[in-house]
This record gives sequence, C-alpha cells and structure tokens, in this order.
Amino acid sequence: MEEIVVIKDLLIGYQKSALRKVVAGPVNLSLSAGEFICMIGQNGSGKTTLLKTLAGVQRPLKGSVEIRGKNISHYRPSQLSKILSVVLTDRVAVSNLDVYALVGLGRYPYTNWLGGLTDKDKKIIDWALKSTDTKKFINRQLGELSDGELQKVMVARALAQDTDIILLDEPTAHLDLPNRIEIFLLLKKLALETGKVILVSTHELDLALQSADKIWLIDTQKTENQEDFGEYGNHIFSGVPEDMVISGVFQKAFEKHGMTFDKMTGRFKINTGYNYRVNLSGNKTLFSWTERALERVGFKVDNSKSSSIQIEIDEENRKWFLKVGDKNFIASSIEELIYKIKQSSNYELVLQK
Amino acid sequence: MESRAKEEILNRKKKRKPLILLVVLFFALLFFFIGDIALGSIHIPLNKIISILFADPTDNLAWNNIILKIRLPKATTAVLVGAALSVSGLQMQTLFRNPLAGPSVLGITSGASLGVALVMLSSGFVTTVFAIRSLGFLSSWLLIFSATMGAFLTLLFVLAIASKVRDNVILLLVGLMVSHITIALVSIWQYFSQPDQIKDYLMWTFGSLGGVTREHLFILSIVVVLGLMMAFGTSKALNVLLLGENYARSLGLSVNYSRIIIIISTSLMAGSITAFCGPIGFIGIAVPHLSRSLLNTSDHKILIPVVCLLGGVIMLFCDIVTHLPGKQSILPINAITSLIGAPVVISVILRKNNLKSSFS
Repeated sequence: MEEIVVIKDLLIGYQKSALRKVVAGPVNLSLSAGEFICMIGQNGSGKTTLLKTLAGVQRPLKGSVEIRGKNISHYRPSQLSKILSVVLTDRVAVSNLDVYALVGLGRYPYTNWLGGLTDKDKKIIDWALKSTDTKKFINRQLGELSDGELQKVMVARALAQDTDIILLDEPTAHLDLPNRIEIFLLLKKLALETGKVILVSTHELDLALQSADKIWLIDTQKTENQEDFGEYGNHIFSGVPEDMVISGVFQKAFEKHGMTFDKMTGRFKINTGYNYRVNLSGNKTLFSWTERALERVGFKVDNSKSSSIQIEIDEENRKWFLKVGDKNFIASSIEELIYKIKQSSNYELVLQK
Repeated sequence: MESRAKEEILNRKKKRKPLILLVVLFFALLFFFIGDIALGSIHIPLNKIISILFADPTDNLAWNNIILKIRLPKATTAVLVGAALSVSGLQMQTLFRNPLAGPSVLGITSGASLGVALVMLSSGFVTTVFAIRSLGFLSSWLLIFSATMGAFLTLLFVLAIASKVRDNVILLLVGLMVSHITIALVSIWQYFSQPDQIKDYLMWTFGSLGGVTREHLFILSIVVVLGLMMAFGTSKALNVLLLGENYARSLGLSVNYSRIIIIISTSLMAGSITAFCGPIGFIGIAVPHLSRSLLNTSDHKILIPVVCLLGGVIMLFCDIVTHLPGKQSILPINAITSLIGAPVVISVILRKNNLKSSFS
C-alpha cells in the first residue's frame, strides 16, 4: 500500500512564546491509501491537536508530518487544499445557502477568480453528492437538514474538494445511533472505493472497533497526574483493532472506576458495584439478557458457588423460576423477575454486602 | 408524498433567475432615477427633462441649471450612496458572520465621521454640507482619506474584538460603544463651538444627498466604483468565508489577506459616502437582507450586483419620499432611511430567534 502521510518523531502541543505545553508524542505513524483510521482517546487527550497538526493548521513542537514525501509546512495553502480536506465541528449555519452551493464551495481551490463552476467541477460535485447519497437534498437550504443529513453534506463537500486525505473531527458527535452507523459505513466505503486516506477522531469505540482498518489510541494513563511531562506527552498507540484488544491496550486505556472492558465481546460494561452472586441456569438468548439485567441491578452471575438466589430459565415458555432462600416465585418477564428479587427480604441484605 | 411536494416547492423557489431580477432592477433604477430628477420644488415638464438630460439643452437656463447642476448630481449621489452602503453592509455581514452587521451598526460610519470631524477641527473648518460644498479638489481627497481611515481603523478594532469574542450580540454592543465614543468626542467639540456651527453639524448628521457638487461627485464616483470593483473581486472569498474562518483556510484561502481587501473596500465605500453625505443609517443592513430573500441565495457573485442595484433603487425612493411634504421643505434623508430600514432589521431579529449563533 502506498504511504501517503508519514509522521516522524512527532511531538504535538502548544507553544505560546516561552510557554510550552506538550500534549502527545513523540510518535511515528503512517497513513496509507484506502485506509480508514479511527482516532480515539478521552476528552482533552489531544485528538483535535493531532488533527490540527496533520491539517497544517498548527505547527508541531518537534518532528515532521510529510505528505507525499514533502513536509507539510512547505506546502502553500492553495496546494495543500488540493491534497487535504477537513470536516470540522464548526457549525455551518448559513441560511439562503443550499446544499448544491455548499458542496460546490468544495471546488474553491480549482475555480477561477469568480468561482464559476466548469463542467468538470459539476461532474465532480455530482459524483460527491451521489457517493454520499445526498443528491436528493440539493435544493434544500442548510437550515432544512437534520444533523445527520447536514453531516453527510459536509462529507460531500470534502469529497468535492477532491483530495487524497480527508480529516474529520468527531463527525458523529451530535447524531443518533443509526446516523452514526451510517456515517461510519459511508466513510469506510469511501476509503475502500476511492483509495483516499480517511482519518476520523471519535468517541465511538464500538463503531471504531468494528469498522476501522487501524486505530490510533491516545492513552492518557501515564500523564494523568502530571502537571508537566517534559518532552513526552500522551502515548499514541497504533494498530488494527483486534490486535489492540488482544494486547490489552484498550482495556488499560479505558479502565476506570465503575467500568470494565470485556475482551471477549469488545464492549464496555458498567459496574454497578454491588456484585452479589446469583446462580443462573438456562441458555440461548434469554440467558444473556437476563444476565445483563441482573448486572444492571447489581447482581453478578456466578455458577461456581451456590448462592441464596437461584434463577432457572424456561426458554420455551419464557418463564423465570426464582428461588430466594426457601421461597419460590415464577416470573413471566424480566421486569417481574427483578421486582420479585427486590421484594424478597434478602434484598436489603444484598445491598449491605 | 408530502416531502416530494415540499421538494417541488423548494425547486420552484430555486428557479428564480437572477438575470431577470437584474434586468428588472435596472429598469426600476432608471425609472426612479428619472422620477427623482422630475420631482422637486420647481415643476419641470418630463419631456423637457429628458431633452435636457440627453444633450439637447433648452433655452430655459434656470431649468438647465436645476437639472444638470442640482438634481442630476443629487440623483447620481443617491445611486452611489445606495450601492456603496448596501455592498459595504453585505461585506460586513459576511465578514462578521452576523446578520445585524452594517456600516452604521458596527460604528463604521461613526468612525468615518470622527475622521471627518478631526480634519475639520484641525483645519478650522466646520463639518457642514456648506463647508463640504466649498471644499476644493485637494481637500475633498483629504476628507475622503480621513473618513476612510476613520472607518478602516474602527473596522480593524471591531474585527480584533470579534476574533476574541464569538458572540454576535457582544459585537453589536462594541459597535454601539464605538459610536458613543465618537458622539462623546464630537459633543466635546460642539461644546466649544459656535451655535451656528452646531446647527451646521446637526444638519450634517441628518444626512444629505444635496451637498455633493459635480466636482465632488467625480471624486466620489471614482472612489465608490473602485470600492465596488474590489468588492466584486472578493466575492469568491466572501462565499467561502460564509463557512467560517477554519473552513475557508482549509480551502486554501489566505484569510488575513482577503480580510484586509474586504476591509479596505468597505472602508472606502462607507467612509467616502459618510464624508460627503453624513451618516446615513440602515440602508447597509436592510438592502442585503432584502436581496437575499428576493434571490434566495448566498452567492456573492450574484448578490453584489443585485445589492448594488437594489440599494440604488431604494435610496432613490427614499430621496423621492423626502420631497413629499410639499414645495418648500425637504425631510432629512436619514429619517427616511431609518423609517424604511429599521422595520427590516426588526423582522430579521424576529425571524432569527437564535441571534447569537445564527447567520442569515
């Protein structure tokens, strides 16, 4: 694969006269054609700083970003705008501007002094609209789009800029789940089909794990309690999602009080903290959902030892047989089951433990 | 079904051809231009006016003088004022991404009038239409220069503040404060002035299109046309600036350079107009909004010519309205533009519930 961006010993952060704040690095990374890369990390870990540095907006403290073998600071803005486009979190709220005109603005680096669109420009705009499935909106004003639609249009604008690299800063921040999935699928598809490098900063761990070709993880663990960490900032891990899960990098980076990362499922679990053991027997779907519900209200399923609370699932009739101490109950829904457990005299005892 | 119907309505809304509007506006401009010349305290028949205008002077010398030396310059000034202030307002609304920006609101005209006042003070003149009338060729350039500098410096100041605070309302308040500072400075000056000077200054603040003689008009047109040409040249930059500074930069625009060009162009127009005609309010805010809603577009390449023509038409209309009271008295032009412009601004505020973050 062709390496388009090469990052060498990059140290990112802020420099205001004598005041120097190192955020992350030093790190060596590369981006190859057709890669869809998700950058994750907690708030304030330096995702936006890294994006800004890669976009040439911010100078690195040390090291270099090279695009196609040339240092990014050696590009003129007009040249760079033909290689790299961005989708920012800035809100574009212009009424009287329709979708076609907005996407058309992506052609800015290529048009003449008046910004008139040639047939070639129109073809590329058309392609950008088609690829993002936004052609049906072209006559709509921006104010008439939903957040999800607007984000797709912003992606179309970046596509119309016809660049090898697209950087997106939290493109799914205000979207609901179906729209988040749609944007991720769209970006993944675009990277695959067009050979562009697409780098996304995101908080969507689940989606990133499932769709990214590579994950950049900015780990704040080491620097968490340090005021000044000299020439070393947050560590940036890079790798394919599965490797990162297996090596435990993920688990370490996100393990916090009240939350565990489940290596098996690749999901985060919230610890409610009580963890009173119950015995649960059954199989198939109902088992896992019952387990989830029990964990949610503070019970841990552990069949290795016998517990004073025992639950047996009848999958076929969708019935739960509950035994608390020497009392027996039958529940026909999880809600009822939880209610019965809570009602039983042992519950107070459970909470105290 | 419903959404398709909506789409169709939107399509139709879109189909308004800017070219047709331009032609219509051009004829409206011509119509109001002749109308403005035809109306006045002395009645002159329309056919005579036309023959005087088109190179066939009648034997009535008084009529010739009235038309060619008074009414024609005044109507031309009205067109220049309308075009310059409106385009300058459009540029500012885009530059600040603020629907309520305009030369008078952001304190630009105040800055220009302070520049004028300073020149008048130091050279011992009085800022009046009569003083301006008696200005020679050189000093009118000086006047334009000082007014433009006043406008330019004010704009730089407001822009510097705008880069610090992202709140539209605060920006407007800053503009208001700038206006107050100039008013304060001018009132200190007034305190030490003669009563007739104060009256003259007051007359100037009412705004006047009649103070511009033919010689001044020549200079004024050069400056305004230069400003308009610069404005049209920045239309592509203005279009991407709509997306905000960061996107504009990512598209390869040198933001600072474009800003300076835009500011110079807007200061030239607002400054020179204010120097000769006094602070004329609300045209700069209202006309861009009217044009945008007429055209349903934010493309400056189309907007600037339309704003130009519409500004001229509305200014001519305002000038005609000043003659309404009858033969002898003329209403102050500033009052008329405010009466027409302020409701537009109010409607903009009402339409935008969320003024703080939105941009029209």
